[in-house]
Amino acid sequence: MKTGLTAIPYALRLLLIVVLVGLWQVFCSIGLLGTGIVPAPVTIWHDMCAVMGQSASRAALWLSLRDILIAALIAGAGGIAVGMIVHPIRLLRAALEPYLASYYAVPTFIFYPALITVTGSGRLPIILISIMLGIVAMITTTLTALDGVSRSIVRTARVFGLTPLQNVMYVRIPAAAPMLLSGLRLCVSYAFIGVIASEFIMSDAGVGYQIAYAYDNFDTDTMYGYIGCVVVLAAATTLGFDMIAAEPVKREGA
Amino acid sequence: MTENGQTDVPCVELRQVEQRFTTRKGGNVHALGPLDLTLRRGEFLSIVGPSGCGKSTLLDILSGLARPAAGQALLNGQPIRGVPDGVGIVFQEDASFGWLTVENNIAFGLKRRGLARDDIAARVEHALDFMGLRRFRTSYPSQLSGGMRQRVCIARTLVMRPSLILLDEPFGALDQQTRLLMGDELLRLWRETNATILLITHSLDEAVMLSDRIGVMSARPGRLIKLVETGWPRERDSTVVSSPHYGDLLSEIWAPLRAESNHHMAANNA
Repeated sequence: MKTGLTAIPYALRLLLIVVLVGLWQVFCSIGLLGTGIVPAPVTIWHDMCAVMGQSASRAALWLSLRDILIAALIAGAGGIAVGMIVHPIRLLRAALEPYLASYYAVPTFIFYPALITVTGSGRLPIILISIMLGIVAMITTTLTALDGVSRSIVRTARVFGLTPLQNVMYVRIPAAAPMLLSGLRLCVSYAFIGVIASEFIMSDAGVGYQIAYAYDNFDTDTMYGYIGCVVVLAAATTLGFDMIAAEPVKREGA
Repeated sequence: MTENGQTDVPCVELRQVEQRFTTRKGGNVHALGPLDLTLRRGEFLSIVGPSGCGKSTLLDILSGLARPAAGQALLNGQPIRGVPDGVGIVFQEDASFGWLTVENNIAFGLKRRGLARDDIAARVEHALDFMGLRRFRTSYPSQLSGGMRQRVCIARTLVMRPSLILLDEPFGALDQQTRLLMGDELLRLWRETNATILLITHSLDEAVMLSDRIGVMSARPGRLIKLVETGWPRERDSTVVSSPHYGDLLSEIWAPLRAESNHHMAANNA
């Protein structure tokens, strides 16, 4: 239970959402916002319930969520592993750093058609593009996190005679955990973007495809229902990560 | 064994030890030596010297974290290769593991060494009492003061029962009052564990108060320019600071150190 001053930011955050959604509802009710274009929050809530009531919709959501998790896990684990390998090799890091820094200047989605020609259509190119979106963020976060591990902690680990693997498992990863969790959160966000957007562009399944399909057929109720579901899922995932990350951050006194 | 609790048996021997580094720009830095030093078993020896004279480099060589560029470093008659068994080290910076509770911090090295659970528990319990950490056993380091965190690091080192304890300015980040109290505790630990201690410090007060002998190092490349016997009894504490001999000792190590520090500053300004 949060008390006193620590609870204030949480209360303000909640109040902000309540006020914005409340204003949105009021504007729709008094006709300031055309409900044919932007439905009222209550309407979207009903649309969401209707969408979630259909097994086909739940399957689409589950399919997207599964691939988001797969992509986030691979990007996260891969990024941490690459970061751990690159970090101690100064020359390799110096060589890679310009590429890592400029990676996001290239829109990763331009490779999506190329991936489809290589792997064929289906879920694989969607997962691959999502991994490509997230992995570099995880690599750079891992490098920064390892830079932040104090030299005395690293030296202490050496004095205890830890093998390189033990050093990584028992010291470096736990010491860098708060920042690594932030990196993983980024991976999940990128995976959400990668999967939903890829389904939107070229796919025959998943929640992104369902949104595009509803849009193409002027079925705005269903479209907003799915959009609402994605927003809730993404927010819940981020909140879940914040809760997981809160404990290591508190321990480290960060 | 002498009345001071030391033996004449050498614990550490440094013979013509030198260390050199290559800078990022390809330059060569002669950081240390040639240096000869013998640490007697059970002795408390402090090293003082101007900034950058290679004190910490010396510690790295003794702990096996670095190999000397020339000369020989021996521990109990054996060349130091890698981190030897029986050596514990405490750094100036906070090296407590923030993700572990106090008791898990203390047990860390014992678990990695694969000791039996009962043995680990017994040693940890003893260390918690010994270092006055019992009330904080389930706390995380971020919940403790700097002095308490340093106690955790010392306890984590002591439970390994090292015969040689290397201290790299362990009280450097603490206030003067806490330093004196920690110094008293350190002397008590030293007497009760019979370990050999090498303390690297910037603080002349600390060196004079704690040590059997004090080594004064020159500016870089660090060489030993003076070794001073303090003559303190083994049963001593921070009250020695009120002894007239304390002032004499301070003067004795300050004179060469002052000259070296001036030399170092002049060289830096040149």
